[in-house]
Amino acid sequence: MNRLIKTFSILTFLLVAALYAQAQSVNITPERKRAIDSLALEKVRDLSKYISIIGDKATSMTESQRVIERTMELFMEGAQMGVSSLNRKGVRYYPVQKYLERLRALNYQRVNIEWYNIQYISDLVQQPDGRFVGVITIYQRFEGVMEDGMRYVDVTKKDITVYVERKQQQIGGRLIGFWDVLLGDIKVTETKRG
Amino acid sequence: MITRFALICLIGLIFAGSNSLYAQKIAVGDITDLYAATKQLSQFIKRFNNEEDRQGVAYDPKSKLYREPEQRKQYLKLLFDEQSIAIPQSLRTSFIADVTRNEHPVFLDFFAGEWFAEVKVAVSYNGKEEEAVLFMELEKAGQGYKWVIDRVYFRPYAPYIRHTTKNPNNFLHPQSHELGFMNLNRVFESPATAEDYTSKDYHPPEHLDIFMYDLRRGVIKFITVNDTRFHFFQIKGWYFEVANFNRPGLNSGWLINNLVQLPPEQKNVMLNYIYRENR
Repeated sequence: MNRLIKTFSILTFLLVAALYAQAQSVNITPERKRAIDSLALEKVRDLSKYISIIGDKATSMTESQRVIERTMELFMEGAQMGVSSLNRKGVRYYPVQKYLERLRALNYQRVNIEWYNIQYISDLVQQPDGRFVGVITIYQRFEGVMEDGMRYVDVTKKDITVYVERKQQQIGGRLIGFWDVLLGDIKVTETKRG
Repeated sequence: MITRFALICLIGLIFAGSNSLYAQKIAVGDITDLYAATKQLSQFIKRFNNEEDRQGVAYDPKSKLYREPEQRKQYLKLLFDEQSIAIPQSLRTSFIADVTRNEHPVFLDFFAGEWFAEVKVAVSYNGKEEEAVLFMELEKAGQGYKWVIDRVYFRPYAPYIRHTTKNPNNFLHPQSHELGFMNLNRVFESPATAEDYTSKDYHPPEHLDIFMYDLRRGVIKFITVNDTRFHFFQIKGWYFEVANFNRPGLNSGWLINNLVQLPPEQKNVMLNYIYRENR
């Protein structure tokens, strides 16, 4: 167990150091960008996994509340979910927490989320405060099975804002700067019903 | 018709090799659609320049494939809205030939200016829903960039903003002060000509000025964004508009839906049209 913790600490340190090095340079090299993209995609995958758990009726209230809290840790404060549809003009906006609570309330018997293996990741562009911002686009097939066997299926395009932010962390008594990835506003475009 | 069929076959060929393991679970047609879609404006620019592979992975700028002209020509053909009748085939061909010419190929640059966004937003104005058109530009700021509101067009204001020449017959005579400016009633009784009585240095406010004022007064409240499109003037001698098409099939996402050959001296005419300044 101790060995595992040690290995994990070393890996975390290497990642932190690598991201810290990136902080020194305004231009993100393609290699650095790939490392950041992969970290951001990890968070997006976590989000997808959590959404499946929250939407599933088999998940207890306590568990879904815990998962909602975990999900919120992936996001910047104040992030919103924008929902648009082929059938109407405009975007509806929900705070992420409210969106997740609405998802829980839908009360499907079973939720199945499949990913089309298509992620489109924009360049990371620096904003005035020094943070970098990018957008990851994915397609997701959502299938919700109701108690009476009725299925709701849609394929949605999700445009997910990703912030790469400089943070500080104490490691071995030293304050180390590193860049963390957090999710921001998400726009969900309803593509089609399956 | 033949051209369209050829185009669809071409897209199919380009993206057929892109299927992942997931493709075995879902219809191949679906995944092809999603690969074919130009998913972000960033991707539109990268495809326009041929800076990424078929899976959307960016080429290393040192790679031979980066901005390779033959593949670029194929991508450029896919970036037009196939349902738009506004762009004749001959114009597209001429545009593609112009931007890919061997000696001086032309590329789009996200940071180079000469392009902007037009965003239609629904707002509540005096309790009634209205559409405002916001023109957004990228501006350098601090350590990076930000989108800023450069102009606004708001139809309710249009009848009240005069950009015409002042009528020289309307003035307050130079002895008005001796009458305690009692003749000011002429100004206030005919608001439509009130600007005739202002200083030569006075310029009517822009819609943006009044919009910001009304926003602060609480008369305007944001409802939602209805539509976003982009206007590009970066390619010398051309103007094109890029809009989003959320539809099934291989021709979807961010696509060129308007293309005009534009001599530099006519640029302002086009800008005035986009800004609705002639209406």
